[in-house]
Amino acid sequence: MKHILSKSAAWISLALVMASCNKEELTTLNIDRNSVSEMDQAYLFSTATLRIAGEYENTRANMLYAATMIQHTASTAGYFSGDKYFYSAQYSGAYMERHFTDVIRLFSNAMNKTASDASQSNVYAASMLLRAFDLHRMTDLYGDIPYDQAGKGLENEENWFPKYQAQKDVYAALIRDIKAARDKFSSSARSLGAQDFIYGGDVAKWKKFANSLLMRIAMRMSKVDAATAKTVFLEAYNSGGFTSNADNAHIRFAEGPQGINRNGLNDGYWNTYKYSRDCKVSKTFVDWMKANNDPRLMIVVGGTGNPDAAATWNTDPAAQKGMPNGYTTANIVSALSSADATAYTSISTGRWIFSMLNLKYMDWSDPYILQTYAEVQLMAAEAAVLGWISSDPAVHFKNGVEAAIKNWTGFDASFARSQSDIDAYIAGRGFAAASTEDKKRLIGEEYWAATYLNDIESWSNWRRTGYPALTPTNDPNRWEANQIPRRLKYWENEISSNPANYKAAVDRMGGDLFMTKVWWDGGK
Amino acid sequence: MLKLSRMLIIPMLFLGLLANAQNRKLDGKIVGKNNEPISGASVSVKGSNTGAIAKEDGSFSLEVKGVVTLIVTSIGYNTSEVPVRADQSSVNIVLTATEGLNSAEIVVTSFGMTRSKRALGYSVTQISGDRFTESRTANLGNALSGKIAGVNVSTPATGAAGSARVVIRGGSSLLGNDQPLYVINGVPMESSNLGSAGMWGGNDAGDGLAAINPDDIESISVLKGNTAAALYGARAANGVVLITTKTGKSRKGVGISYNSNVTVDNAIDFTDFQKQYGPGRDGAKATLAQDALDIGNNHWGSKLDGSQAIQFDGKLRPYAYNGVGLNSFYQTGISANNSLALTGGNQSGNYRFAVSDLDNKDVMPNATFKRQTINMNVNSQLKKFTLAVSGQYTRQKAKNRPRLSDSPGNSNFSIFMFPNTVPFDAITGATGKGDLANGNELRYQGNVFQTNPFWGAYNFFRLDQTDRFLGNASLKYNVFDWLYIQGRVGTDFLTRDDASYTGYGTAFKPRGDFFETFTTIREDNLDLFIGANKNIGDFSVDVLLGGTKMRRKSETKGGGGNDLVVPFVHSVRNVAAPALSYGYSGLGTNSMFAQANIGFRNYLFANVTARQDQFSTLAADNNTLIYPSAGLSFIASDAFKLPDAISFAKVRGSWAQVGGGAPNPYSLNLTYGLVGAGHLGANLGAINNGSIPNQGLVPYVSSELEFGADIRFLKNRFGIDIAYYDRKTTNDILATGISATSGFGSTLINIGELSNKGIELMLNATIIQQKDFKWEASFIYSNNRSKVLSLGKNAAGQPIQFINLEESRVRRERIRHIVGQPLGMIAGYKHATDSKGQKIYNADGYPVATAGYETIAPARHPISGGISTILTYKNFKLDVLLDFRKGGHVVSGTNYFAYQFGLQNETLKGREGNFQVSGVTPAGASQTWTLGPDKIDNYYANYANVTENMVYDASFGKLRQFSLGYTFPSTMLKKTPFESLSVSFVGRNLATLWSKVPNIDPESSYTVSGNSEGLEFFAMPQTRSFGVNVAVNF
Repeated sequence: MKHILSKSAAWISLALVMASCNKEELTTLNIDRNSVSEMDQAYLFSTATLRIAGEYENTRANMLYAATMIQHTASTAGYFSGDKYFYSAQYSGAYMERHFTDVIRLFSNAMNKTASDASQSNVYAASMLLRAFDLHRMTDLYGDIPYDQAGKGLENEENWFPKYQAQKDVYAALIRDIKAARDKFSSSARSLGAQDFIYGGDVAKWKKFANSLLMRIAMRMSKVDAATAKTVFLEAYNSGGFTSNADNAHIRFAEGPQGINRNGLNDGYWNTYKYSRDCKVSKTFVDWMKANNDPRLMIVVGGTGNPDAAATWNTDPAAQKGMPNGYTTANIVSALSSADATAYTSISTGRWIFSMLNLKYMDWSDPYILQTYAEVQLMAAEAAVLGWISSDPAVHFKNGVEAAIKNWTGFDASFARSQSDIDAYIAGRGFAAASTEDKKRLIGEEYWAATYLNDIESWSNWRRTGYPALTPTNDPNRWEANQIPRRLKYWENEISSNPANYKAAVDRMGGDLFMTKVWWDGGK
Repeated sequence: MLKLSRMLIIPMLFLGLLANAQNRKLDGKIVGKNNEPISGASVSVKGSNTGAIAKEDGSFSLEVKGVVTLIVTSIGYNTSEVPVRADQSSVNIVLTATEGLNSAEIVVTSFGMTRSKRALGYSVTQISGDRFTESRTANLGNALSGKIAGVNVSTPATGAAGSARVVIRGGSSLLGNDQPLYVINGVPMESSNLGSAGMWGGNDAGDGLAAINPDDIESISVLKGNTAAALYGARAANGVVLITTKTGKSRKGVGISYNSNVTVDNAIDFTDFQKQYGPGRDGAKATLAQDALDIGNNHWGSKLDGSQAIQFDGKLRPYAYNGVGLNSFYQTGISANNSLALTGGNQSGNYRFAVSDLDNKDVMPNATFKRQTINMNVNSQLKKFTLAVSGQYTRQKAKNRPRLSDSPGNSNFSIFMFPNTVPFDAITGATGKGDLANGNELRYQGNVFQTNPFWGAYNFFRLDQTDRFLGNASLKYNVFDWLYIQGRVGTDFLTRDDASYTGYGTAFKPRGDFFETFTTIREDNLDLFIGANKNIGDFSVDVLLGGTKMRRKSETKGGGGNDLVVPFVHSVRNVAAPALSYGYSGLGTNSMFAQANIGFRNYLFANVTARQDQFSTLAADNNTLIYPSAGLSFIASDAFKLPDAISFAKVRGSWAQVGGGAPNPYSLNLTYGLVGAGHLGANLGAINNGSIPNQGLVPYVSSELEFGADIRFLKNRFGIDIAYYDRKTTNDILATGISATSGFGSTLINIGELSNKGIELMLNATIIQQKDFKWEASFIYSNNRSKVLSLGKNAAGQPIQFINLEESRVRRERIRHIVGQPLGMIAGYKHATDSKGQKIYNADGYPVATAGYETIAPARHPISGGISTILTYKNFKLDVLLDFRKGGHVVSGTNYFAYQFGLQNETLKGREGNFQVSGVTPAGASQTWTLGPDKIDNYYANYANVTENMVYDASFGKLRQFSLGYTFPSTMLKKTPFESLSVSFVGRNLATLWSKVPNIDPESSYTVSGNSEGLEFFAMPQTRSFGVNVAVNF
């Protein structure tokens, strides 16, 4: 009996041991056949580039907030919160919510993996530059932000709860990084080639972009640290920014096949979500273009009426009518002429009486603008007015306005305007003869017009210069004040997920409100 | 797998050659209390596979050897264990009829083995299948509600085909899955929820439990504690629900059972909105159609006066209450469940073959759920071999599982918030589907993301069809009377096709979309064990040694995209840019286990188990975990002479350690993947991980100490079963929230510690027992106190105070685990106060919220229970179940919007102006504000933004189940072909006895995820059902 028992026990044990200890097979099960552990970091760089134009945050931060705040567009719909100064936590926080994970972490990862490989220095430099571009936008939107540790959670546990750096220090870091990136671009290293949707791997253009961005950054801080601003501006200016529209930094998009291939801002405005049915070109903007006989009027506006109902569609420039900012359907009638009020009251015409955005610049495949030659020239005009550079501000002004108008052909060939119309418009602006302050006003207004669709930039420049002069709206349900906001409130998630650093930033800035000024705007 | 099966066979053959025995014949008779023969009763020899079925006169005969214990079971009677001496050649067995509820004495435990309850050192509750069949629901899990102490079932309001959430003893883990392991006939079943609504919307995609037809269930046994579950290893950390399906019975000819259950279901309307003020803003109604459209659901207009007022479509209609309620939209649902079973058998085997059909029409228009099952169970005995095969094939087809949570496509949102002056026929549309004549969505309010409810029901579409096979086969070989070896293979295989579209012409997605995904999931389990039972003098020994190999894989293939090219044609090939997706995941566990039970004189039992698991999902050098357990059971009433009043007394105690939470496959390493089809000839790459990977993860460990007693009085008429447990989980794997500015929202670390302590009480009583009248009642109660002990430290070395779980679309709250608090607290804004506790209002007199989130209230109910009562009078039987929960809270999204839109009854205060608010200014000065009608909307909007105002005590009591049945006496059936016939009137969710949540059902969660427990946001209403159940045997 004992014999039998021990023998059977031996068999069973053997079977069990063999069944259970097949460790190698178990380990093999945990290899994911759908992914890889190493990847060309240029692929990540490419994805991150496209995601700068992500639909979610571009519709929220840019379209719903900045564009209406800065009175490029207007809407009676409550969710277009920017011109009625409503607070929506989701819209306000959207840029932070998405870009640290969708954009910054990919650029940070690409930098980390290519830092010590000279052959990859263009991947490294372009990632570093676009990371700086995006975080510059971020700091202009919110104030103090995580910069050095941003998107680097994989590298070190220290980075899991990134510190918010004072905006002053963020600016110093931006200047440091952009210069470093500029120096790192190399024509002897592997070219970015097709992975680069901005310049197709053209290193010289990347360097111009670095300098142009440095100029933007320098100009932004001119109000609070003129000395540094001037130094940085001059160094970059002399090193060479954009010299024509051919240098413009824009991301090239396509019709698809998927969301990531499409210009996210336009996806929100018209294509997938069609938010622009609820918004119109602002009366402020239309009236300004009409008053100055701006050849861009029929570029910016498509027409009045319903574009889907040909009989109602009116593209006569004289008939164009902007929507006043800051109203709801209940009270907008009070802001209209009696004829308009009657038309608005009719169910058939209703809000179609206002000029719609032109659908020709809302294609999925239209470019997404980061920075243009026009802006560089307008900044140069300002630098000349300030006496930083010795060239004639009027030349820069002319170059800037002309470039701004001509750049529209990148959206649609029909947007080409004759040289004579352009020249007449510029002459009509009367820049050369204007006073110093009026020159600044004209530059500010043209910068505002030139950065239409890049409304975050428009809004930042307005905050710095006060131009164009905008009248705040007066909705009784405004959140904080009937004033154009000076920043967006932080993404509320940070209150709980990064409490100590969030609190330190808010304490330093003196609040987390729309009217809290950021450092370059005269805040702390 | 092949290798293992070969290994299984070889020792079997080897041992088979060595079999020998000296048998004798044992004759017996089985009778009831009144000496009536019990035919069909099954007799088996404990610890062997010898058995017999009683003939019509109740007699049986068996070959036995030495001292044996017979186990005698028969439906309607208590199972009995009868010791037989070595010199006995005949035995007379008297069975007592089943008394009370939950009275099974032989229970199903690990690996499907039956054991006498008296020998167990831990708490097991078993309920028989007939408790599920009458007042049934499509999902079996929901039927467990209120029946078992320590088992907390929540029924998310996700539609008739939705999933159930079952949590035993509060769960073991802070995150991830806290639901139990489901085991059918000894083999684990894939039962996970296949998708649920989140804060951005979606729908419940169903779970495995919905595949089971309650008519096939013999019994459900719940292993609540760690000890009970220790033999199942990692997957049993949250308890085990063992489902045993019916088997055939030895009988003459073929037995036919037919059961038909038909119920009508109606949505329960809890809303009590104000009906005095109509749509408008700032105290005025719209004067323009455009404005009426924009105003939409905002009820901040003037007093309803019946005057003609313009509406969204430019038509003038009376400004008067429209009488539209939830049931103007929801329809009467119908569920018909028909089951037919054939059974038969003889001494060498039995079979049961059953088919069923469930046809459900949901209360949501255009939503249906159909299920067909085929269930087969064959047992056969050939000399020393016992073969058991059971299998089930299920086909489920769910059409339009309702969209929940966030508003796009969620008809519930639209109907709950519907403008109270717009007549329903103004929005039903051209063809009754919420459409305009041109085929586009008929919008009656300005927000494109609030879909017309009819459009949502008819023009959003989804269909999922699941084919599922669940089966196992086991072969047992009795080497000797006391030694057997058994092998078992089980597989659970499902394929599923999910198709969905957003209709062409939908306001927020004008060109619609179409998506289709094919999923296959397969899990195989292979068991091999050897067991021995032997009595040695005063001792009985029962030993088990075995191994298990589990492999699971799932694969998904999908396609689809936005923008239909040809309108209204719904196909993967008709989207502008079809995108393909592919997913694969595979994992496995190898395990060994051993168990020993030693009994002394049948009144003292010791039980020891050990199991070792190796996981594929962990790094090779720390992928092994061992789970030990030990238990003791002492039957004091057998050991000592106790007072006569005490008929039975048992005390038990046990300790066990289990673990779990080995992460999902592939989460240890950073991986990259490609995005879409690239861009302009370039490749797009992405980091796959959403969470920072951690190579050093180990499974969490949960250890539990349990004590209990089972005491019965006055010849078992009254019984009390009480259990106390203290469970502590350490090293829990947490996706710790880190700042998303780091690039990742979370990282997985072994840091969590939590404790669950609780008591479970079950009282059974036969209150009245007379010849024709019997009244039985049972009361169950459990109180689980959970506490988060530690969440570890963050990267900066500071202790983490809390982790964030889910939030609803309101986004002004979070479910959190907070150190020192129960699991799942609701956090959000409170009304800000000054140092003296006075409430702060801003310059306009609006409530000011605190600067950040504060802890508000626990979401989960610590207390749950039920009261069952059965009254039997002659052939009538009344069965009623009350079900209650206490102590949890809900943060209500419906009430939030009811305040925002001026529908909440409370918002009537101040409509006519002069609304006075007293408090302090932000600077601390006392002030009284008087608000005009133009400000009242802002006041309530700010009021609702203070999260704590939207948090309600979610305690409730419900009349959950009701059935009144009549069983026709056999004398009446003599001349009919029926063996038995019974008819019952049944009902479910007949009444809510108490609830403090306005406008919604307190059980209105939109997902089964524990991380969302306490969030409410426009789920389906719960339904009330009435119906008839007919059971016939031929």
